Amino acid sequence: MYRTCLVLLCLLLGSASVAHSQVTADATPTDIQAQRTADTTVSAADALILEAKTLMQLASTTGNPDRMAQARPILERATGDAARGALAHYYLGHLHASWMNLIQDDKDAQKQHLDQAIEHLEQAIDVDDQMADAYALLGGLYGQKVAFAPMRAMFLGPKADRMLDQAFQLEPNNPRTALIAARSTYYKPRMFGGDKEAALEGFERAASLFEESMPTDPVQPSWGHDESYAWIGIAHMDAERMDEAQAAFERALEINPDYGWVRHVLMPAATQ
Amino acid sequence: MKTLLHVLLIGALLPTLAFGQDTVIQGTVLDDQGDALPYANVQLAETIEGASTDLTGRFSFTTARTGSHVVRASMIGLEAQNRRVTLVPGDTLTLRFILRETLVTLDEAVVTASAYVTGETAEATLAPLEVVTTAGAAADLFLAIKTLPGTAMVDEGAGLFVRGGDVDEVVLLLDRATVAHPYKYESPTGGVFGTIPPFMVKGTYFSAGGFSARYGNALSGVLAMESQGMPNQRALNLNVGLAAASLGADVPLVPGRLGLRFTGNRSFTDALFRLNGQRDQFSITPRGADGNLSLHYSYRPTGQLKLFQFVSTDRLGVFVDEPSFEGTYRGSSTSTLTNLVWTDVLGDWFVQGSASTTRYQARQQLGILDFEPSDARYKVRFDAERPVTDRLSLRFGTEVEHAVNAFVGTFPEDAEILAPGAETLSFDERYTLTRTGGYVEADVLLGRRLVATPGVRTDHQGDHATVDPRLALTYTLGPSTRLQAAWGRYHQFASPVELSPSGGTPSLRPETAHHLVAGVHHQRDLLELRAEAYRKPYRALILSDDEGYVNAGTGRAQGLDVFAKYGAFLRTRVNGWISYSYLESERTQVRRLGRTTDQVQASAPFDITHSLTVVGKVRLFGFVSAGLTARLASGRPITPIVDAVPGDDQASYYLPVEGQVASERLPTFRRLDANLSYYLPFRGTHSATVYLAVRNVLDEANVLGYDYSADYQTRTPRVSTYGRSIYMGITLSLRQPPPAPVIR
Repeated sequence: MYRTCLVLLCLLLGSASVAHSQVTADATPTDIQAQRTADTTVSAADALILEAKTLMQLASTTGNPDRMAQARPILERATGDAARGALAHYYLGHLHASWMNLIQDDKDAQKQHLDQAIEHLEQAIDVDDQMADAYALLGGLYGQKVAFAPMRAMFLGPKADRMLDQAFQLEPNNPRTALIAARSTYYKPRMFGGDKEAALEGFERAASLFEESMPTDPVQPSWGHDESYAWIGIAHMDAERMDEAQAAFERALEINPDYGWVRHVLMPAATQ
Repeated sequence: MKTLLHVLLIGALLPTLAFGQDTVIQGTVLDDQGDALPYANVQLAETIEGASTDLTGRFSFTTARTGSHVVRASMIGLEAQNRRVTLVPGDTLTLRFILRETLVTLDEAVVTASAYVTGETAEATLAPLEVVTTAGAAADLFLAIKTLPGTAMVDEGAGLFVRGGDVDEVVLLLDRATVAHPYKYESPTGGVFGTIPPFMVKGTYFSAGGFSARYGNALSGVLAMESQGMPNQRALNLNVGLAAASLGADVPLVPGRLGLRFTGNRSFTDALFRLNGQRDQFSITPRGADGNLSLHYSYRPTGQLKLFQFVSTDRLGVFVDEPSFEGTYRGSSTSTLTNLVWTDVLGDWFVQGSASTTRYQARQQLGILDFEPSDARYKVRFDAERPVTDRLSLRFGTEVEHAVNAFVGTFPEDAEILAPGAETLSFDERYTLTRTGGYVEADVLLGRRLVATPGVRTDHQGDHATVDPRLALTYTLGPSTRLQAAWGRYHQFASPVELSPSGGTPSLRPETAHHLVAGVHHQRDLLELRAEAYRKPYRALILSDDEGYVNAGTGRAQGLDVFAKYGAFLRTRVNGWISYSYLESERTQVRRLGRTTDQVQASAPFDITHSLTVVGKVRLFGFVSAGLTARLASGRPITPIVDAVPGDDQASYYLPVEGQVASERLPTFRRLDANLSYYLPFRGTHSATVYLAVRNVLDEANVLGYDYSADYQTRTPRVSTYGRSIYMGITLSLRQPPPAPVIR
């Protein structure tokens, strides 16, 4: 009788209760990695991450930082989950990095977001030191930090390179790592290895990796496919190859028809 | 069947019962001004349970957890707050969080008290373009720095007089090499212009007091300049003006690996003075040339070598009317600076080294004065810095400087008596001095808001060694406002002349000052406000009296500096800054009483009580900009000569008897300068700038001192030779296209 009651109770409460992950708080990085690749059930933490991803996508498309502000606390809550904590920190890093790009006029706020992004990515790596995406994004942000702390350029440059190297070692064919590395090559001064044509090759490699790797788990990072074509277009524009630039921007809009940056800024610049 | 029904009924009710037993956690999240914080996160720590605040700062969520837990509220830019609560099923907890601004980070606390930075960095007060477009600064770095508070307008020259100190109490460095003779057309108050062209300099750090242990052998201030780095794009700059022409080029030889920069400048003021009706003041109008060449080699991504060479020459001849002599002063000088600079990252250390030589050779002729001083410096310096943790950064450095000074020539026995036939002293002397120095310093983040920079410096020269502790504090009140304070001991060793065995006193001790500075710095968007009070007691100041040079002087300086700046050149239609300095300073001074002297305590020679500078720039229309710089300063103290006694039995010359020291002041210094420029961009990256400057618009005849007749019975004011004058020119800048700007 008692057992029957318990079964019924579970059936009734199952859908309403918070479905905590199978991975415990003292899980090892290997456990987390296994969880990250194998677990396809949507936990409460996953639901939070998916909700935040939707808001971030909306913020990037519409250029509205309020959506980022809404997504931030949702992701922060997700950091409390043992299995998804690293991923939530990664997305917080991505969120602050994207937020920074939406507020070009406020240097103080930009710096604050950059610092927050770096802090979250460092935490992501503390929890899961095998997350290539976190290393790659962190490497890119160390590079961007040079603009805010030029006196530390000598420290930040090599640190950025080390992070990108680590990302490539972990996942040689991660398209976002290829994109971030190419972006870094694009922006880096020549004396530190910057090269626009080499950057273009990097963007093209990133685009081809995106074409090959279709994401299956919606919780995992999936951004960058449209952006890689935006950068291919920019690199062609620099070399005054406008036809190639337009073709790249058109491809970016095929992937993401609502891509405001390409539709309203880059494409008009290429067609003028 | 009844049992089963019973079970199902219980089962159906259970969710409701369970919900009824949850704890409700609700409340508000506010900032420290009491304003609601939307989109703050409130959650049970170590869980994913929580909620975001709404637009009114309210939140509410339920939890089935019981017992002791931590509720955490967080928001970007604000410090997260934890609250321990006990969760009892069925209870409603109402919490109120007030989140304060987050703590500062070490790399943010870069601007210390009394320091002003120019350049492209985030902490810069003036951008390079703001320096060169300041009316009245004549595109001179030092004249532009003199629009900042803490510097005094003693005359219209470029000499940096800082907070009551003399011009030689400020150390000037270029890439850590000492610029021993930084002025063109040298005079006792510095010189007419600085020798360092502004476009050669990437950035500067100017401190009027309380400066870091990195800098030694300076009693009053520091101007540390950094020359341009590796050129990234090919560029050619050409400037032709009424009194100068210059040509410069940036050439990346192997992009990213090897590059060179050079500029050459020639000044020829003859046409300028003829146009402005002042040609007859000179037998030789001021003229000069300077050039610099730097070769940059990047041997690996973090390691660079820069070989820098700079040469500057000048000469002039000017008619003078001295008490005992009317004639022509002729002066010429040549200075060179060669510096090999190395920077790299070794492990976690950022290291910088430099090996430099500077040479200066001059000749000054006036009456019986015929003097050829020369000065050579050989310096090696090494600095290293590393961030240890987020809360601690360390640096240390060492330097050795060897100076060789020579004095050849004939001097009047009495400095005032220059007429042919007066008593003279002949010199042919050469002195060497070696100074070694070192420092250790740290930046320490203490708590949320306080950054402390303790340091200690030691220097050694001859028989004397000094140990100078220093401390700077920055307390962050809010994201825009900081309180700053600094204290330190500072020493400056005697000059070679003062230490010379023949005319000087080899046992002279270094002069000592203590700096105490406290101020507030507020910067928000386009507005920057700074106010600082300071106090500087002096000991062992070097005086020249009947006994020769002695360490008998004491003194003090105290005052208030205020700075307000709005806008940014070209970014805002109007921009500019106001600097005000209040100063009270006194020093022991020697009073001349004919054949004897006396020592008295009186206002320091450069005690400029009030200094006000207003710099304004406005974009009139299109690319036409206008600028105005107005300066107003109290006249400096002077000591009147009230009598004279014959210098020899034949009364062929007289010796002055001074009245009360610093009992009079020169009239108020006034100066208004204006400029107009038209910036014409063409073919994307090229530009031409046509400019017109009117100096001393109101044609103020500022009195710079008094000249006495040979018997000191009558005196006439000596007025500035810089009457109203017009200057014009054109600058052409041709640049390789830069990378396309990308806006995301």
